[in-house]
Amino acid sequence: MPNFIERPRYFCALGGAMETITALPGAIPVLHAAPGCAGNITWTQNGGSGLQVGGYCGALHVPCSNVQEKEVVFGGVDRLREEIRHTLDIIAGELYFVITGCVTEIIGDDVRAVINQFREEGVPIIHAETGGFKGNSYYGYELVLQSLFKNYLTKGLEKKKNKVNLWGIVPFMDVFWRGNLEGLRLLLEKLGFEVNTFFTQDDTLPEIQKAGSAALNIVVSDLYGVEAAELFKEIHGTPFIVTPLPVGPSATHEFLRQAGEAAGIDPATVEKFVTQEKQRYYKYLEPLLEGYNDLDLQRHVIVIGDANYAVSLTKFLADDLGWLPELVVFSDPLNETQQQLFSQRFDLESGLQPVVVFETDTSEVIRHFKQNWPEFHGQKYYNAFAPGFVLGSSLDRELALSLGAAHLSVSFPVANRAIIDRGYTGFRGGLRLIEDLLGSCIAAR
Amino acid sequence: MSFKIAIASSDNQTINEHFGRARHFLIFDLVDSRFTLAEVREIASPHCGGVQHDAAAVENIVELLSDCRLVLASQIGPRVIELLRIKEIKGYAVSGLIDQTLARLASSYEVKNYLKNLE
Amino acid sequence: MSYLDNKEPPKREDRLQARIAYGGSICGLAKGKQGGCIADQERSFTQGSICLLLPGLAMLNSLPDSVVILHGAIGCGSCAHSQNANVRSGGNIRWGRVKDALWLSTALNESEVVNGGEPKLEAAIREAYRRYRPATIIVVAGCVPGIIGDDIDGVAARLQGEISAKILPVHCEGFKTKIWATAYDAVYHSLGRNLLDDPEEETRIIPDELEDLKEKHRLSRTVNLMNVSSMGRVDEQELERLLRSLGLSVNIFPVFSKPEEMYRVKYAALSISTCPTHDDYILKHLQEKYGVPYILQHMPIGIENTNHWLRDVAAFFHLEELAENIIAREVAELEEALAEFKPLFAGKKAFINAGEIRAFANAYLLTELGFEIVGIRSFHHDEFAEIEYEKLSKIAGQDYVVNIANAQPFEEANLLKKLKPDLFLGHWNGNATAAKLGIATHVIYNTGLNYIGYKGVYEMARRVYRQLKNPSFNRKACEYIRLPYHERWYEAEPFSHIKAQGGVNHA
Repeated sequence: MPNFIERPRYFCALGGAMETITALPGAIPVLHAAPGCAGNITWTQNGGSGLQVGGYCGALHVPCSNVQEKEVVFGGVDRLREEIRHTLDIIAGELYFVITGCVTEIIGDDVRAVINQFREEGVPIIHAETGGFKGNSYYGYELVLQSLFKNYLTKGLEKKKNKVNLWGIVPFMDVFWRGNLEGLRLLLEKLGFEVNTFFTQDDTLPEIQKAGSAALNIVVSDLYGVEAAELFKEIHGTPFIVTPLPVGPSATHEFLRQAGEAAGIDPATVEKFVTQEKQRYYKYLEPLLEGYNDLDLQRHVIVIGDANYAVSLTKFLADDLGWLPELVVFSDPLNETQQQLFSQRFDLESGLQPVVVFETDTSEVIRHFKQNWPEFHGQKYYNAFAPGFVLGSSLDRELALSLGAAHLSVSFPVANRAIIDRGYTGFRGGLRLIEDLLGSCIAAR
Repeated sequence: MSFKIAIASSDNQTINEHFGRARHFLIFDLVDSRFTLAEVREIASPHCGGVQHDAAAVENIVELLSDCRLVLASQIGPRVIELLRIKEIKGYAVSGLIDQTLARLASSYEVKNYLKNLE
Repeated sequence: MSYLDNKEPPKREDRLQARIAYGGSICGLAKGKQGGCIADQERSFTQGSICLLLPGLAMLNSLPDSVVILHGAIGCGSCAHSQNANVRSGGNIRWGRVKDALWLSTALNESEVVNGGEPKLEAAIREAYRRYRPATIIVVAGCVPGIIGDDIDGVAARLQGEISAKILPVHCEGFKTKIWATAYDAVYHSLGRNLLDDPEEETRIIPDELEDLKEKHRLSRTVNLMNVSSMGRVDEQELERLLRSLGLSVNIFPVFSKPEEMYRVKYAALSISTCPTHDDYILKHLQEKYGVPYILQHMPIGIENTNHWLRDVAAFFHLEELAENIIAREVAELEEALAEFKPLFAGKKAFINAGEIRAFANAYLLTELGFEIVGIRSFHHDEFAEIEYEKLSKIAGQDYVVNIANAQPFEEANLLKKLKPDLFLGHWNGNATAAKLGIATHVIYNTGLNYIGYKGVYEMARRVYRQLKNPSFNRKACEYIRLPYHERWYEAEPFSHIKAQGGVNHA
């Protein structure tokens, strides 16, 4: 167990929960926490979420019990009760979602009892215990989903064939969450699915409440939301599949094949659709082939990302773009079992075998690189890491600079880009990513 | 050093007195992880006779309670809080049943940390 | 006994009777209708806010050759991701080098919360020293260690003997105070306790009287200029310019200054603050213990405020006449340059929300530019604001609302809907409410921009001018974006959720 994490690339569990709830249409996060939590979360978004801060009820608008020393000593449930009471008066929402911070969990406030009291009055209110020390923001996301599945979704609904729920992309942690979710939603809709993605503009709470009628759940992450999928299956009986986040044509082909198979769609239909989409994709790329080759835009690349991006970006770079991932760094804190699982996700079509390491600390990445790439001793013939590229977070710019490599921020924190509805999933997402990668390479042209 | 709490109460059941008006304070001590009544400490002349607060009288009361770690009353003014703080005593304005409050305090981190430091 | 003899500084509610819940007016405050002291009220509805950890980290992450260890839960202090931008640009403009801030988290998990986090912190300090070899290791305690009883001062004292990096414990337990400005005290407290000793002396073998005299003279003309990260380098440069025109040489503390050189703060003729909210704690200490006098009033934002500030400094050095010449020249130049902007401002209504002194100083500035102030919100109240209330009530055409609040945008939304200002000036993460109501906004604090001194007046005018010239972005956005409040809230009294401690709401 490391004694510290350098510049952790995430929020605490409460942060993940708060931003996930803000992303839910019509949901109001209500914090039972110390006064600084909402502010810390807001500033973090400001610094790392591609200039996306808050939403309908987010940032410093979130109701919070702002517990002080007095509540720490004597308990905070009275304050919470008062806070919820007035929140209902002032804040217009369809679902009130109470989440807890470190302080209130440590002192053992019985939040459940308070929530039950309001539920008995017919208030649409649920809660989750998301004390910051329980995990990072990805875990907060997981806890919110679990509570929704358990406490908000209607139980015992009849299953509708071709209705699917899709999750695994964490709002604000994946700064491309809106484009990513929409991209996958559109693709599945074209294949004839009725899709719920919880967090896009086309999702509504009433529809989310009926999510239990889905015949299939798709989790586009090996890690985020998988436990929630197991819980969903237990409570609502819906089976689920897990696929890596599909970025680009190869991964998206596999994604649609698996989804189609799990939903009982004729494979020929799926293949026909994929072929059409690939046709479009390559038609768009057609004029790029000249410049891509003339300017020699192939790169040696270091990929640094979370559990979703480390895998999906590497696959795209190797199998679709023909680049050379040399080193892949997982920046999430992963245990041994998880590390084993992820090490096996690099069975690349192109046959490349990048070095895969698990490293939470930004300044250590260079050490891994040096251990796996021959050093320059002034020799005449040297296989340099050039032309090079670092595809990571904004914190990896120093690494790129030291290697003389180009850089693009994709994984959290993204400080130097403004992201609105851009997404990298699917076929079109692959095109977006190519634009951004190559744009970075030729910026000084 | 023991863990003593001073409570301003007129009925010995609830915390219902202002700091300045209390004629006596109930002093509880931590014994075997529970708070038990140790003494009833009389205040010679409570200071809140009228609108003007007698500064010296307030300081006297604070001095009288200087062996306590916590002082609880239904109301405590900011000046008193500051005077208490200088003596490393925490003052809280709370109301409610004394028994419940003491039970809560006995399991609080204030007490846990105190006991931890004794080891 | 000095405050600095204790492990932690007192919280400002106690030390300065600072308050965060009040609704009233500028004339009311100036006349001291509250009996000179605002009651310690609370709110029955509150929104999440910031705590002292955030401004504390903003300062600490700027110190060069240091590592900040956040002792707390996973993700506590992740705000550093946003402050990193300031560290990058601040370092670049001062040293020509862009470098990310370096902070670590002990990421306490559930088991460590139950069993105590001191062993992990000790190991983290040792590991941080081994890996990064910093000159300073700053250990910041968040809420969790504050509750579970981790003694960061004890750990620092235990390890100092084996590590040559200076270990600074700083207390930022957010639940302990409602006043996040206590952050300045928390940081200064640690700096004051740990960094003010002189380094081992270099004794001159051959005494040199001339050198000694020169040194004495230099120090008699040296001032400390305090900056706790609320001024960017461009603002520092404006004040340096003015102070140098008085013949003074300037040392700036504490942001971006080397911890090992902070002892020099004792060797100055005068300490100058640009904001009493920031510096009263340390400056009082420097005077009491080391005899360094200080000036602690008038934030130099706005023409008159800058004049006051400069006059105060000049008076200390008996340079009143020189100051008047400087002021006359500066103000004449400035007024000429402002002439092109003023017509657009005439009669426009402005509303301001910022830190205590900054809000009031900017209100004065905007009045000088021709705006009519219709409301001010300030993050907290204490005695240092009283002179500001007086200044503003003298120049106020009409009385206007003053709301003391630690953010709480619900009150702001209510006020803005009623007052409909043409311009809103808000703090970091404090402009979106007004923007979503279609009001032209400008950020009142940003370390990359000029706000201070005469240059600040001009640049502020220039920026506000272009905002008012084309406010289309916010104006159009508000047609499609709404705030999360019920319509009935906008009709209610804005301060209906402020109540006496433990008492009932004012209705």
